[in-house]
Amino acid sequence: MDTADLIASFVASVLTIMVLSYLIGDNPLFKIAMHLLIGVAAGYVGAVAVHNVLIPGLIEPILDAISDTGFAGLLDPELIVSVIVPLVLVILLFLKVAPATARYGTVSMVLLVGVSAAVIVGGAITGTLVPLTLDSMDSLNPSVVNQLTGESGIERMLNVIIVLVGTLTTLFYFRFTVRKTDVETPFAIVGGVKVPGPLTVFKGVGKGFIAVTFGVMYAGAVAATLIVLAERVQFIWDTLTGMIDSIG
Amino acid sequence: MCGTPNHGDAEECTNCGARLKPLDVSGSSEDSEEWLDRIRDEAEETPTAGQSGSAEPDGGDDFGSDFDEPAAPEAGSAGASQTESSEGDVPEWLQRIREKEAEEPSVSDEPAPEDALRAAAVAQAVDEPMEPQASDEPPPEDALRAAVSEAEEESKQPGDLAASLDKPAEDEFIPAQESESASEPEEESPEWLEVMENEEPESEGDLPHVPALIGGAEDSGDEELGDLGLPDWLGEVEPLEDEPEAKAPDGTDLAPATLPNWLEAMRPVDTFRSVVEIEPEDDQAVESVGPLAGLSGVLLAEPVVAMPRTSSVGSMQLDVSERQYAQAELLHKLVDEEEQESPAVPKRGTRLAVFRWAIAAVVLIAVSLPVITGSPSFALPSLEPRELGALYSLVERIPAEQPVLVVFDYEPGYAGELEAVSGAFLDQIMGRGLLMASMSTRPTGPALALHAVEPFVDDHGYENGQDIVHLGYLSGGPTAVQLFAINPREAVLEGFALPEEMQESGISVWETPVLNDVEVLSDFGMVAVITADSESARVWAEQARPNMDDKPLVVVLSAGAEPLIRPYFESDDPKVGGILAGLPAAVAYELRNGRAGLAQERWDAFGTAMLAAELVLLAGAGYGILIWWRGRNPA
Repeated sequence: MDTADLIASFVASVLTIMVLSYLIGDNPLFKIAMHLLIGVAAGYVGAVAVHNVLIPGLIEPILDAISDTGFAGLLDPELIVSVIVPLVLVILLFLKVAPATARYGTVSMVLLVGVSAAVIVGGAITGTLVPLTLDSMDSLNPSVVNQLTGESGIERMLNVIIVLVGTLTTLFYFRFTVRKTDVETPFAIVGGVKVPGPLTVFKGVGKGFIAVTFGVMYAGAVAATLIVLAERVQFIWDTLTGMIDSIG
Repeated sequence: MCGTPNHGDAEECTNCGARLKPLDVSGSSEDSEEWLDRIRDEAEETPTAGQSGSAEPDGGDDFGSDFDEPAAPEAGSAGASQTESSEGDVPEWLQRIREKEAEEPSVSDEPAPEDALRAAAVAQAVDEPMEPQASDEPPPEDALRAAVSEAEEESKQPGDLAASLDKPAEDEFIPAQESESASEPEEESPEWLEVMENEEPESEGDLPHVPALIGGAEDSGDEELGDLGLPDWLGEVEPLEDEPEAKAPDGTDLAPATLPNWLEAMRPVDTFRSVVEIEPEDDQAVESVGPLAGLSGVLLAEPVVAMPRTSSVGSMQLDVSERQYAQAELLHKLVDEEEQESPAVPKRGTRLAVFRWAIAAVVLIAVSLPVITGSPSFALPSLEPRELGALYSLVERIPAEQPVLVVFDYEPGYAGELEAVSGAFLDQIMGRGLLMASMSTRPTGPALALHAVEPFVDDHGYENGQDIVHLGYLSGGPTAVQLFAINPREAVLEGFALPEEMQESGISVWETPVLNDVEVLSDFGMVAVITADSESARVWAEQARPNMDDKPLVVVLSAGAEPLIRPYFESDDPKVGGILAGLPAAVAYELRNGRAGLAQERWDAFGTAMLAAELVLLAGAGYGILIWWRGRNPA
């Protein structure tokens, strides 16, 4: 580990400890680390946007056109469509900075939001909603074999039933559930014990599926966090040992 | 006024204080000013024929017709001459008198001096209030008396007006219809006239009773004034106190005097009554200062001016129901609570901080022990996830001439996990010598990509620009992903971290050996998305997958995002061809690769930390159960 890497690792280790100091509460070390992180990230993002997007996408084509054919090159239809119009939209969007001129940026915002919404909704319908809805209505034929997982027979049928019940009861819980204030008439009363009706049963099963799903997600988040913590501890230990070795 | 029953002798209502009996005009002149002013005001407001023209008072039809064609008095009596002088101002009832006078000679020639006197007096007296008077003029009752005495004096003169008046006064105040009938030809004397002729002169007690205008006035002259068909404005005077309770014409009892609700609401409530009360004369204070010094019974200005009282203008009695009152009280209570400073919540931080520090210490120690001491160590997983085999096979089947696109869509905070999880996957790809291109839809992604592939570039001898290129940052979110899926070369114009010689020579990233043959997305042998966000993986599955033909889409996920992406993988028409999530799967991948990597390096720390976390969760659950049990069984 050379000196530059050692210094960088040392600074990174100190910043890591400053962030972890939030364990004792909000303190100046944590705030300094946060402000430094946000500032560096913003500066880096700005630099990437300028060097990776604006210059190659807007500036360079115009300069190339001018250098090749003079200002007449700006009248090239392809350049107008691909560069000039986007440049105008960017300028209009930039006018959003000032309240007095913010209304001129509405055109760019409308185009941005409208196109994004169309793309996202279209993709969600064709890529998620329809395929996954069809997948929840899978065949119960035990001879069918899942191509990816290789499941077949009883195992696959069991999985298909679980998916079907989970889908229906979850939808039932969210959309067709009874209101909290409404008390469903018990299906039966056996020995003084009320047997809940089907609506209550479906609602409870759907709630159970949702709870299991969130539990799995929470467990995954905890696992991911522990991996990150282990990586940070390993990094700090490596830095310390590296510094000790370099000193020694 | 309020309808409350009061004693018969009571002058004011015990509830609302309204006067139950009319003012006694026989009292002091100050007491009579009120009704006099009212009479004067109404008289002034009553338009006379000569002043208003088209405006007509009550009974204006008769009056108007009579005014247009005034009856010429045939007899030159004094009364008639007086009425002529004020013909333009005479009211209806007086006009009828004049008409009667004009017609009387044809009915009867018998003189009736006293009646004529009365008529003349009434005509003079009643006419006077109709005219604007100076403030020093006598009140109307005085004028009436004066007029009566004046007429009596005139009746003593020869050739007086009595010669032209032959009927009793009551005949002169017959209704208008009767008056008209009286003007019939002489030979057709009306029935009533014949009856009257046969009757003796009626006494005063037999006259039609009309409540006296002036309460307490005992003289007959005033009492007779009421018989003269007083105009409406005079009839509004309330009956005398000794008069029986008023009855409706049909005999039904009149409702007690009540105020309309709106007027009752405007009435001042206890405004001056409790402040200014007329005290007995002996108790009245003697004014000591000012021009009224020495006088007793002077109204004190101080209580009126200085004492607080209810405003007569704004004093409104609101009709508030109980519900409205309750809501008002609730609102008042809410406002009061808002103004109150909420007590400081006692901090429970001490106990929580202890718990927090204890848990943090346990986890830190659990993570640090394997890193520092190398123990405890956990056995590597002997089982691997079912989908791992499919992914491994997928990478093995990628054609060698087709590059692999790896998308690094995660933030720096997740680099510690995803670099360990994706390490084996990248190791397999680069171990096969496949060309690789990296990209990111996040600004920080390109730098993370460089950091993630750096160890494998050195291990497998990859050269930047020749075996691996970095497309850099793809801005625009889902829209840009779709654009990149349709036409990658238009979406990404310039690479990231290209070798200097390529930049100097102006070689684009698309002109490098890695991407030289790539025109569309399906030209890549595989697209792999490394992300900690399920949203990013879903965007690539929705927007890019339709343009990949049969080429697989692989996602490398953080453990927390796996449940939301797995349905795309396990469906019959999978949008995701391979999935890799979690450190155990990564360790298994490394084992399958036969090369230890970051996953195995962190396996012990991860295992210890997970064990500590599970113990903490169990301890928390046990503590909760204990609290619950103690709550149910306090003993």
